Amino acid sequence: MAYLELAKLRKSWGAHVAVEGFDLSVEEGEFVSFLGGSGCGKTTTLRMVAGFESPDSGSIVLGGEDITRKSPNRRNIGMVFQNYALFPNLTVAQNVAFGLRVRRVPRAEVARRVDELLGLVHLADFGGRYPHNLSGGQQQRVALARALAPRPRVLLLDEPLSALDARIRQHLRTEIRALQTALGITTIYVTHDQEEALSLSDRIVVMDKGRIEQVGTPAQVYHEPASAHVAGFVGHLGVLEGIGTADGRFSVADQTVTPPRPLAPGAVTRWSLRPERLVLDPSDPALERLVGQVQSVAFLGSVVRTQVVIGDQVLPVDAFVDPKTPQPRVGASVVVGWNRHSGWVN
Amino acid sequence: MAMKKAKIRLDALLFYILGALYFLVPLLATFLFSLRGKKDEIGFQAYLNVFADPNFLKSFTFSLEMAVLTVVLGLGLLVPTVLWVHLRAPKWKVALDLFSLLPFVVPPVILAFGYIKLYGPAPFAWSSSPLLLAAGYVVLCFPFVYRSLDGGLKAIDLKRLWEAGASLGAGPVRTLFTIVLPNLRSALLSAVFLTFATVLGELTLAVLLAWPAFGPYMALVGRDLAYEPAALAVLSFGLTWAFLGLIHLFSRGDHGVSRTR
Repeated sequence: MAYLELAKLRKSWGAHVAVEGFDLSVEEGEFVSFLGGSGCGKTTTLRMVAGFESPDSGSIVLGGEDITRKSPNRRNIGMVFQNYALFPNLTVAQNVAFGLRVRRVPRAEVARRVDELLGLVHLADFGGRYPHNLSGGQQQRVALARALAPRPRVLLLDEPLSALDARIRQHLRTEIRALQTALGITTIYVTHDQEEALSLSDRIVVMDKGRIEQVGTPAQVYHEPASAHVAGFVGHLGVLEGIGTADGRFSVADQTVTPPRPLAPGAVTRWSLRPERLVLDPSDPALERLVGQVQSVAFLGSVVRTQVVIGDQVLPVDAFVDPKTPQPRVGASVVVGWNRHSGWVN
Repeated sequence: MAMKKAKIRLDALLFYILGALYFLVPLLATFLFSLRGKKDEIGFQAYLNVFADPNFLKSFTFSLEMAVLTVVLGLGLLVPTVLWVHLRAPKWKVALDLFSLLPFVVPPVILAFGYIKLYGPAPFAWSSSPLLLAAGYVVLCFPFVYRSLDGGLKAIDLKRLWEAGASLGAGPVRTLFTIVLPNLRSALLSAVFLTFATVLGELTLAVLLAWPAFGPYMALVGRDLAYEPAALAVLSFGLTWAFLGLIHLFSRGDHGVSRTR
């Protein structure tokens, strides 16, 4: 049996079903992210693990103990909230010490642990300050230290970085992962940010409409998405809509290419392709190719994204920036090529 | 632009002056009048007379006791109720908002007669108990106490703080006393001091339920004497402002709850 077992979890509010048929096993020390759009049920599931919501049915077993109906304060599960939820009347050190005081840890041990945790989150000199004297990033670090101080069995993070600006978000992301690895704590991380989920997680649970769409490593979810929804949600995706020809090929804008499998004649088909799997003006004759026109060129730092119009459809093509190669010109005619086994046809 | 700014400042200044005159002139007149307690002399004779009257201290002490009782009953009733509504039953907030306006709609005289009618005869013959007066004061102070608590709770993310406490192992009582109430300090102080100010000046309930409170004492003095009522009015005003000053003083230590989110 896994360290944390969520079995057939269901939660509804009236007619609205927030989570249904949720089964997941999490190993000890694993970092799992729940990824999905707004209202997909990821936070509700996390709150059921924390004990803030009671499931209608199903069970939550942690370390062999059924905690489904246990009150949140008896679960020993740490939680970091999106808006920090630091106690405004307590100093940083008192916030971090709170969980230890509740557990009646001896005063000297509390002081030692608070110093240790504040050191870990690089806030050793901030113990005497009040939360409102800290920046958003610092407050979230305190929240992390506070959640970790009582050595919880599982750490839950509910979109902890979404209220922070991009730079701090990226920095804290690295810190969270480093801390999690160092402490070996089982972690569930809720996010709607695919980049966050991909860069942090051992495994990702992609959710939609209260159900699990796919569970897998970041590479599996990215390269072998279980559905068009997962493919569209994780990473960028260009979609071409075409029709199956009499000989089973894919026809779009009076041009034909060979799909990975023959299509039914006349069948309306969508071929989803990752922008980085496409090349402009390819030299490899084995690639499938379509002619189009450059609509726009966007410089994204290390990558140039070119939007190519094929018929009345637009396909994004990503290429690493090479200072020696000139960027495509808007309005120019280009050939887009790709391996026929790239992408998903449905 | 600078001229416009100067014009706005002048307008504001004018309204400040008018407002100050409106409030301060009658007060100053009352104060000056209260100093004429002794014929052809300016002094504090009226104040000395008030302090020398044993009924002053008796009625004031009684009202003070009632105020303490009202605070205990009012907060004991409303803090858990408002917390519960904010945490678990937000749909009841509309009803509570509406109820909190009832003391303004139902006059105290109706309330007093209702109490006499209901609690006069057996089996609930409680009209001779000061608890009934305190209960009436709780109703009268309900809008002030409720609005203070509601405002205080809106300024903090109660649900998240409550959940954060629980996730750290704290039970409801510990979370209430170590997290929620300290963060409601200025709201609680407002409620306490507004209750004190209301109870100390209340007349109708105390008269109709026949209690020797400070309000009826002031009314009695006002009927029989000339300068002492003015002295009492100034004292009462000073007391109210002292309470407001205390609210301000104690709230200054607040750690800016709303600023942290």
